[in-house]
Amino acid sequence: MATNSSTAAFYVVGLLLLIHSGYSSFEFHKLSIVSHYHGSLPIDIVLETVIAIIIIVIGAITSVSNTPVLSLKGEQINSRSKFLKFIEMKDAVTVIESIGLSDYEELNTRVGFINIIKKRREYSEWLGQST
Amino acid sequence: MSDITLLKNKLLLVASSGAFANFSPEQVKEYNDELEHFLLVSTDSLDSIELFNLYELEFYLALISKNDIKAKSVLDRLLDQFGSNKKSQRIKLLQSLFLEATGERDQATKLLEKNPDEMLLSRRLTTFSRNNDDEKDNEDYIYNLIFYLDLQPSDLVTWAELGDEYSKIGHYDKAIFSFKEILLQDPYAYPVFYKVALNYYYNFLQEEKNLKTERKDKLVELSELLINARDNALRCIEICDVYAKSWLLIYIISTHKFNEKLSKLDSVKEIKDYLVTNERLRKLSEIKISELIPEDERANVLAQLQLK
Amino acid sequence: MARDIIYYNPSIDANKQKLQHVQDIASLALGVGAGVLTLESAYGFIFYFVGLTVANFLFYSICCENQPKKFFVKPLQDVYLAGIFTNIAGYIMMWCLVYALVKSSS
Repeated sequence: MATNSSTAAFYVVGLLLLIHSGYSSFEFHKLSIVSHYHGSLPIDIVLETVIAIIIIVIGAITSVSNTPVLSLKGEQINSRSKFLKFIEMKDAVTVIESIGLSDYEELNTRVGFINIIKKRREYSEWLGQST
Repeated sequence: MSDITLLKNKLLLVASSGAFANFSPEQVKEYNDELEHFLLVSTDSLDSIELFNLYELEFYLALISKNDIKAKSVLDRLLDQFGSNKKSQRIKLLQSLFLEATGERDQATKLLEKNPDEMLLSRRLTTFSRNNDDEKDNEDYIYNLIFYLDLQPSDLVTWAELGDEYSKIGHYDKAIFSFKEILLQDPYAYPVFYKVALNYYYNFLQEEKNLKTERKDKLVELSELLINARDNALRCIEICDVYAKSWLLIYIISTHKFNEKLSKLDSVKEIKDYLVTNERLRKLSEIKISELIPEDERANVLAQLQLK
Repeated sequence: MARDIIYYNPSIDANKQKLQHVQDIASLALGVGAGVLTLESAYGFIFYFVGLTVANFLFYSICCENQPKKFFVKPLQDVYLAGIFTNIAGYIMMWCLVYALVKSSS
């Protein structure tokens, strides 16, 4: 999964809040044993915990966002959806098509059959032209 | 997402898809420089599998750009790592390519022939029967490809190669058969649907050129080819509606002047249906083409569709 | 119009993996929370089911961009029901651990 700066920020804040509320809860239980207090946990600790959990979940959601890709020409291409990938074939293939390839590129390029001699000849002809 | 990761993903995609095999010389040079720079500064961001995949790409690019010294050094690096593995066909393929490129064809043949069970190498061996000076003289090559396919009928890449070879010499019906073999195993391969459509269309052009009479049954026969071409192109678009080349083919079919001859025959039900949908497809494909293909590239793409 | 939709399996898997990632983290965070709140017996499980459903709801409303059918074959079932029992082990682990830490009175 990709981690970016906003994800990291959410995680740090959420974990700090969670640790803080945990320590508060720990202190509370210790004190209530010493002072023979029998009430429930103070509402601010409960709230802090719940908020921490929500922040962490939001952090997790931002971490699954789609990453851009570079096309063969070097342009940066963003997916049309921000987080998930389209499951319908005709939507899903648009990303790789915009790169300039397809999932069946193998059938088109056929590296195993590459005519290396011809490719080399083409290259040296091009080199001869351009200089 | 940092630029390095983006670049890494792109290079790995080029390596795995084999896109470099169809690069123009400019692209080869550009990628050669880019890859060299990338390997120099960001080797740390790669795990070992990615690294060796990129070395393989570097080898191919160096070999294509006639930089034999560099190709040799990359090959040696790969051999140090994998050369002890006697079963690796991938590394032997690279070795044979290097030998072939440097003119030592006999040695390359020897390397490929060693074990008839190594199918990837036997496949490479078939390409040695190719005539490099005249692409249309490929009878031997086709014979060898068919021989290989008898042994390995599920090799889709070879079917694609065979189809293209048939297409080169104008045996479009056989080319269509080869491509349909791929579709049997991979029914969503939309570029192959396009190729089937294209070959039907070429077949149609070929037959139309030889057409002497205007007899009704001949015309109906021809229209079947055109309808097949259109249907396959439409199937391609159904799977991937941004496939511009297929839209272009549909446009060309729907505006073809042969359709006027057919309009006399609209007593036949199939032809009547065909002509009615044609009108709708023409409008639709015009819109799509203007969306998908920039104006300055259109003439170029159109030229590719002419019969060679 | 009735037609067969052609699904693209790599995308289906990628989406499920993303959902799984969110649920993993949510259930661990919920486990820590339950420990901090020193919940016991049924309350802990109720907290888990409610909490995970809220997390799923957040995922559903943020990630699916109002068109869940485009991302999941059966959106409601895939998002809300599929992961709920597989993630319970992680939840219980964190719950017990943090509970023991918070309640320890040494």
